[in-house]
Order: sequence, then C-alpha cells, then structure tokens
Amino acid sequence: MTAGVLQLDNLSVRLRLPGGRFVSAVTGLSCTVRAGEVLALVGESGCGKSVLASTILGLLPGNAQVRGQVWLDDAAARTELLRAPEHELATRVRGRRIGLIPQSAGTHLTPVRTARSQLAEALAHHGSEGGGAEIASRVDELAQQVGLDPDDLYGYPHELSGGMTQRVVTALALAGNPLVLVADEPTAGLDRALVDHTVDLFRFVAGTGRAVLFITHDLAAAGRVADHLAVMYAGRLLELGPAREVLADPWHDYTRGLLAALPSGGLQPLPGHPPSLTELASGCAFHRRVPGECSGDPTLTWHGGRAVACR
Amino acid sequence: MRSVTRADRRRAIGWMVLRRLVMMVPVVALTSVIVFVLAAASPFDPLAGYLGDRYLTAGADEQERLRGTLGLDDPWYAQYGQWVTTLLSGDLGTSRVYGQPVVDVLAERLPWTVLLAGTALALAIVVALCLGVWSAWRHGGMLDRLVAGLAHAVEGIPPFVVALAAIGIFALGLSWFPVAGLTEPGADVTFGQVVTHMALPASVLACSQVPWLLLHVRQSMIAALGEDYVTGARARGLPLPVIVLRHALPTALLPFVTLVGVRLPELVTGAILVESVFSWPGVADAVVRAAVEVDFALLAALTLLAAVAVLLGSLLADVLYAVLDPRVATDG
Ligand SMILES: Nc1ncnc2c1ncn2[C@@H]1O[C@H](COP(=O)(O)OP(=O)(O)O)[C@@H](O)[C@H]1O
Ligand SMILES: [Mg+2]
Repeated sequence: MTAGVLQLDNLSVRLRLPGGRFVSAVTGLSCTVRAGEVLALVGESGCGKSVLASTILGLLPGNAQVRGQVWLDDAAARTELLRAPEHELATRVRGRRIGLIPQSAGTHLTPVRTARSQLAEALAHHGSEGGGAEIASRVDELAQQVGLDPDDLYGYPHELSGGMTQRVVTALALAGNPLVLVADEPTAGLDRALVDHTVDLFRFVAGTGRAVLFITHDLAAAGRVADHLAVMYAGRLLELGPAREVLADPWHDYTRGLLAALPSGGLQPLPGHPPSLTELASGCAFHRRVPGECSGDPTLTWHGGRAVACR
Repeated sequence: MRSVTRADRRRAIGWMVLRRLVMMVPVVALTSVIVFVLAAASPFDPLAGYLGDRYLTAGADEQERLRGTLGLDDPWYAQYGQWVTTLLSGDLGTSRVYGQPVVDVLAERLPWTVLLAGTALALAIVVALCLGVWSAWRHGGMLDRLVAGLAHAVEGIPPFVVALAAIGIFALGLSWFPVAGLTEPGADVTFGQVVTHMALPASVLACSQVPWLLLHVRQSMIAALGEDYVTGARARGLPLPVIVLRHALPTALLPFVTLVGVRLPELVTGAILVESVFSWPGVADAVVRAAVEVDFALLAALTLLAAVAVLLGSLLADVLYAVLDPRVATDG
C-alpha cells in the first residue's frame, strides 16, 4: 500500500452562527487519501462535505473553528495544513500541491473574463515555461484533456453551458499539476455521458500517481471510479473501506440505505431527513433518524481493511 | 465561430451608441424649450441687463423701441423659433452681457473649465480607486476604519467650506499656492503658471468628489472580495495582486463606471462653485451673469452644453459598461 498523501486526523470543524450557536459541520473525522487512488466521499447534501473541502484548502470563512490535523505529505514537503501560515498556503499549497474543483462551478469563474484568459493565467502562474504561444498550446492541451473544444474557451462564463463550465473549472484545478485533487460535486448537473467522462478523467489523474478526493452525493458515480469509499453522515464518517467491498457488502445501515435509494437498489428513499447540524446532540445521529441496531458510539472501529461506526 | 459573436457584439454596441445619440435630440430640444419658457417667466427685465445703468434714465419710448428691435415683447415661442433658425445656420447668437458672439465667449472659457473639471475628476478617480481598493482589502482594520470615517466626514462638509479652508491654509497661511486666477497678474499663460494656479481649485474639486467615489469603490470591492470567483482564484493559488486586480476589481469597477456617469451633473455644479471661489476664468462667470441678466442666447447655449455634456457622459459610461461586462445587453 502506498503512503498517504493527504491524511485527515480527528478533524472537527465548527462554524459559529450569529447569536453564539455553532454548526458542527465536521466531527472527529479521520481518513487517508493515497497517491494513485481515488477516495470517494459520499453523503447527503448538508452533511459537511464542502466544509471539509474548504478546510483542506484553508479557505474556511472567518467564523470557523478547527481542531485536529490535516497532513499533506508529498515529494515537496510534509506539511500540517491547519497550522501552516496563510502565506505558505497561498504561495506553495493551493493550486500547486492541492487543486480544488469547487462546488457550483459557474459562480467560481470571474464573469468578465473569458475562460481561456483565466486558464492561461493559471498556467502562467504555475510555472508553464515559455511565452504566449506555448501557453496557448498548453491551454488547448488541457482543454482537450477535460473534454472541451478549445474554441469553447473563447466564451465568457455566462456563455458556457453547465457542463462546459464544470470542465473549465476542472481544467483550472489541473493547471498547476497538483499532487492532490479535491473535487467537490464535480458531476452535479451533468448528464450521464459527461459524468462518465469526468469520472474517467479522475481515474486517469489517479493513474498518473496523484491522489483524488472525489466528493459527491452520487453513489453510482462514486462506485464507478473509487478505490476507497467513505460514507459521511451529519459531519461524521460512518463507514470507510475499499469501494468494491463496501458496495458489495455494506456494513452500516446508512450505506445500505443509500444503496437502496439507487435505481439499482430499487429506488427506496431513506425515511426522514438529515438532521440540522446546529446544536447537534452527541451519539449516533443516523440511528435517531432511522432506528436500528446501534452501540450508540458513532466513531469508526476497524475490522481488517474496513471501518464502520455504531458497532 | 466565437470571433463572429465578438464582431456581433461590437456592432450591437455601435447601434446602441447610434440609438442613444438619436434619442438625445428630443431631450436636448425639450431642454432648450424649457430654458425659453423659464426665461420668459423670469421676474428680471432683460432690458435692464441690456441697458445697464441707462435703464433708469432711458425714457419709456426708448425702452419700447428697444424692446421692439430686440424682439423682447414677442412671445417665448416666437423668440424660440428665431433662436432655432439662427442655431440651424450654425450661429449661437450674440451674448448681450459680454457683447460678443456666444461662440467666442464659450471658446474663451470652456477649455479652462474642461481642464479644471477633467483634472479634478481624474485626480478624484485615482485617489478613490487606490484608497478604496486598499481599504476594502484591509476591511475592518484600523486604516480601513480611518479611511471610511474620514470619507464620511469630508462628504458632510459643504464644498465651499473646503474651498475657503484650502485657501486659508495653503494659500494665505502657508503661501504654497496662489489664491486665485489663472496666472499671476499680467504674467503669460505658461504651463507652470497654470499648474500652480490650478493645483488648489482642482484639489478642492477633487476633494468634494473623492468621498462618495471612494465609499462606493470600497463597498463594491468588499462585495467582490466575498464572491465565489475570488475564492476560486484563491484556490488556484494566484498571487494576491492578481486576485485583487484581475478578478475582484474588474467586476467591482462596473457599478463605479455607471456611478461616475450619473454623478457628472454634480461635478459640473461643483466646478462652477469652485471656479467662482477661485476666480477661475471658466464658464462659471458666464453662467452666473447669463442667469442673473437673462441673456437668452448665452443662457440657452450654456444649458444645452450642460445637457449635452451630461447625456454624453452617461452614454460614455454605458458604452464602457457594455465593453467591460460581456453579460450586459445592448438593447435597452
Ligand atoms: N459559512 C458558513 N457559516 C455557517 N454555516 C455554514 C457555512 N457553510 C456551511 N455551513 C453549514 O455547514 C453544514 C455543512 O454544509 P456543507 O459542507 O456545504 O454541506 P455539503 O457540502 O455536504 O452539502 C450545513 O449545515 C451548512 O448550513
Ligand atoms: Mg457541498
């Protein structure tokens, strides 16, 4: 097994609300993303996935309080990201060692500049050698890699379709050739063919020795590409293990419920709603929603190569 | 295919300019009518302005005769018709107050006003942009609060107080700058003379525009810095100046462009006030005298000039907006 490139260790993130209350967006979360692998993080919307992505990149809003550790370990250095100064994150980590495909791609492009100009800019700042012509050909190359017609890049963000925008943002994240790629809902709003293309791209990226954290609520897309699967509920991981094994034989009731909600599982939706993460009570949030056998302890316990909560 | 749409957009902007220029004609015509109606309703007797001191000594007969030859007893629409006829032949008429063709009065004075107002506006924009952007970047910090507080305070001071204070401190107190005029008495109009004489009035005029410009730049910059696309640029690891100047600023500037266009009339009135205080040889003096002495020809020309300047300013702002923001529709 290769060493972990991105290692989250007992990570907790709280967001302070006006009035002094807190949203517990991430609670005691540990997992490892390895070089050459895709780790899919799945969970219903609102369970804290995007907050986790922002935490890794040091882009949390000012009302956030973070505990735990996030280690980034690659050929460049071994860095604990939560304690790294902003200057180091800005000049050495973001875009270069960790690339982010942000959720809602459309709003993450500057509206008054063409996609091409923003892509060329990212390439120029991430050490692409040579002048304009060379950068232009790198832009075309990157566009083709993510499945875009280079001509489409002459459009302004509002002229691009949702699928094109998504691919532009993916290309931007790859521009700095980062060792870790964090993709937050990169397949949302795409049709099946584009989902497959995006997911295959992650497979390819992982195949070049990089680590991919693929955040999604689309378990089917996750199953198609993931080496490992992490299942998140109300800020905690409830199950973690090799994707094939977890999908074939889910241990946790929540994972089973997610699979049952898929077309292949019979389209049986989970009863109830995800809990609010404000003033979240301790104990197992999932089994408060759907009763079942539960030890009352939602921390992961390891059994061989797999981990599950509530046992 | 894309280059075709770009050319289309340029053409669309061209049509917008043409449409707006055509629409200016009725607006300007209406403005000129209003000038004549208002002037006719004015309690001032234009003959008093024309005759000056002789108004009291001239007999009633002579006054009647003069009214007849000057057409002062004609109804306003007859006077207006007369004025439009001469205007269409390229003649703005003669200013009674100055005893000169209106064209000459304007040619003599307008360049100085444009120079003063243009310099002040450029100065105000540069200062407001630099301070506003920087203040927004340091939002919430000591210096940001200082700048914002100062801007609010200066915004509340009437411009003539600023002008008098500036004269008191920098001209009379420190003697850094001359008090008034375009040059030293009798001196030639040289570059150095004009610059030293313009420094104070231009600064005062700029000073009256900087606060609201700055506060707006700061506000839209703060908003832009919180946008997703700025987070996106940060996530890509772009250098700070690139994030601020190439991602936040271009969108923050858009409302600013419109704002400068909209507030142009205020710049014009501010310029007139500052010119009067500093005896600047611009159009301010002509405006005041034409209004007080009901100099139809000059008044009409000045009003039209102001109307055209304001309309062109807002057109320029809209064109700039459409050029800067590809999302803006050009058919409105
Ligand atoms: N800036 C913020 N301030 C306060 N609460 C937030 C903020 N951002 C997200 N949250 C809350 O954190 C929780 C997790 O959100 P998020 O990570 O976006 O969920 P997901 O990406 O899984 O859909 C939600 O309850 C959300 O309301
Ligand atoms: Mg999300």
